[in-house]
Amino acid sequence: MAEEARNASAFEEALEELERIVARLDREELDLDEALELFETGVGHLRTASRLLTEARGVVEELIEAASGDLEAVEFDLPTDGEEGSRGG
Amino acid sequence: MTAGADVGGGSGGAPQISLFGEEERGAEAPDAAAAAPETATAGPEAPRAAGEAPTCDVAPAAEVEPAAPEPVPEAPIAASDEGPPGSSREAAISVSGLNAAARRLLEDAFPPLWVVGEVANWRRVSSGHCYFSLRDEDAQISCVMWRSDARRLPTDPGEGMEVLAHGEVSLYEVRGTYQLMVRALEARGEGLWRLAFEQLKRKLAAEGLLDEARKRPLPRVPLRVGVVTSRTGAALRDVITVVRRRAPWTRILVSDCRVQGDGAADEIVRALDRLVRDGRVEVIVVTRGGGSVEDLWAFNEEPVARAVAACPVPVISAVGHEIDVTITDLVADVRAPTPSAAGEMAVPDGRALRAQLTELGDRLVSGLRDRTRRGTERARRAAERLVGGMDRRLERLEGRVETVGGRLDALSPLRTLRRGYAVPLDEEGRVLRTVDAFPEGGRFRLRVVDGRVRCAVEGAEPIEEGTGG
Repeated sequence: MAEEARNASAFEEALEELERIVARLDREELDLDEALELFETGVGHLRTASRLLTEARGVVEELIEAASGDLEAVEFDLPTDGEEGSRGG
Repeated sequence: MTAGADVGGGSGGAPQISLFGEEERGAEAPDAAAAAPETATAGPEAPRAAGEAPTCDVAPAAEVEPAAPEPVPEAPIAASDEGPPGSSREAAISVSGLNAAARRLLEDAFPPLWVVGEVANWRRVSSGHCYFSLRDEDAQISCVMWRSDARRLPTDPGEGMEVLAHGEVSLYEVRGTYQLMVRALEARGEGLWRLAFEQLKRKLAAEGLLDEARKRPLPRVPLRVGVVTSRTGAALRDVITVVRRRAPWTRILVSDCRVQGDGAADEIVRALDRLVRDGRVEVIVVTRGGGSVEDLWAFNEEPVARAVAACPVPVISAVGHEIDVTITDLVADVRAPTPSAAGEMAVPDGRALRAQLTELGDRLVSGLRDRTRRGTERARRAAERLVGGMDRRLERLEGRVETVGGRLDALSPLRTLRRGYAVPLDEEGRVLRTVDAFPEGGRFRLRVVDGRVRCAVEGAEPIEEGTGG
């Protein structure tokens, strides 16, 4: 789970890095080498950000505490719109 | 006194039947007895008297009455062989008898009623019962509010607070004091809820817990969102629906708790604690749907406010409808007007996010294009490799992000050269942009699509502004 937490911040970092790089490419007079290096890094961040969105699994889970105090995330079924009454208000 | 006149004069008919008919009122006795055990000594006495000597006491008359509810007694104190109780030395009644009779008279005479007055000398004793007086300019009455009723009060009323008390008139036989047994108490005007709210708000504000400076920014793109609410509530459904629509990749972790009633505050605190201990979510939505002030009250309780304030993860609070502001709302990093709005604040809109990525990709490309115009051969190859690689990678990206790949190809510097453009470069590979960079006799190279051309300058003249292109 620590890894997933890192993924989250990795997304934010990738996005922010990408913004910084684009801003530098737009504004600064850079050596070609430097520009290429930035471009390459930027492409990497773009790829990372897209991959995180694509690969993250959008599930709903319920966090349950066992008698032992251990926490467990179990799948949570949300009623679809058609059967929402079944779960009550 | 006025009331007494009513009893004696006006209410001899039907109303009194109904009053006596409500003999189950005696069921309240245990409550009273528990709180004031002394009354128990008076209690047993009455039935005993009723059993053995119907003539001697007032209480028996009252006790017997319900057995034969049809005849309406002329007076609550029945006559005896020696004449009406207390009418002669022989018929003298005991103090207990008098108080019991007076109590019965009072209890029977008044239905539960609302009394308006000011609170004085409010005391909540260790047992939880509350004792106080209600008074106005000219009079006062002792009041008691048993623990079971007093616990529903959001806070103790202040001295002199004008209140509406709902309860039953009675008499505490041990002391012979006439009193009001209060079942419900409401402050007039702002109300006790408001008072409790303001008290806690002031307290937390004094500790700095409501400071704007404490508010943390929400993560822009949380991949995990925690929700503290009832697992069966409409609020949860709203949050999940919105989050799924906007950011379908988000994982939602539900931490169930009751959101109203006794113990709800503790459950909310524990549900929040579970998410904190789990440690995965990057933002937490604390929510419940609309309800009465009382329904929402758990979110105005101090333990909940403190747990939210101490939460290491940013908290979005959405309690009740837009007009309901709770202490939890004030302590949270962000307040949302509704559960759905909380969902919108928690996650970014996926389409906007993808558009943003696409735009950043575009700007990345255009930024590079400008620089590679003065690129060297080595750089050109590097760019080509990158762009080619980018094409392949981007094919895997979803939606509009994919189109970046196509644009990359269109915008690649190589493609530009293929269209017939050439780039003049100096010995160091810098792009020569203006006539100043071409001194007569100077040497430079032209980068064309398939190679380099060595050149010498014969002459260079600027084009007048507006006369050429």
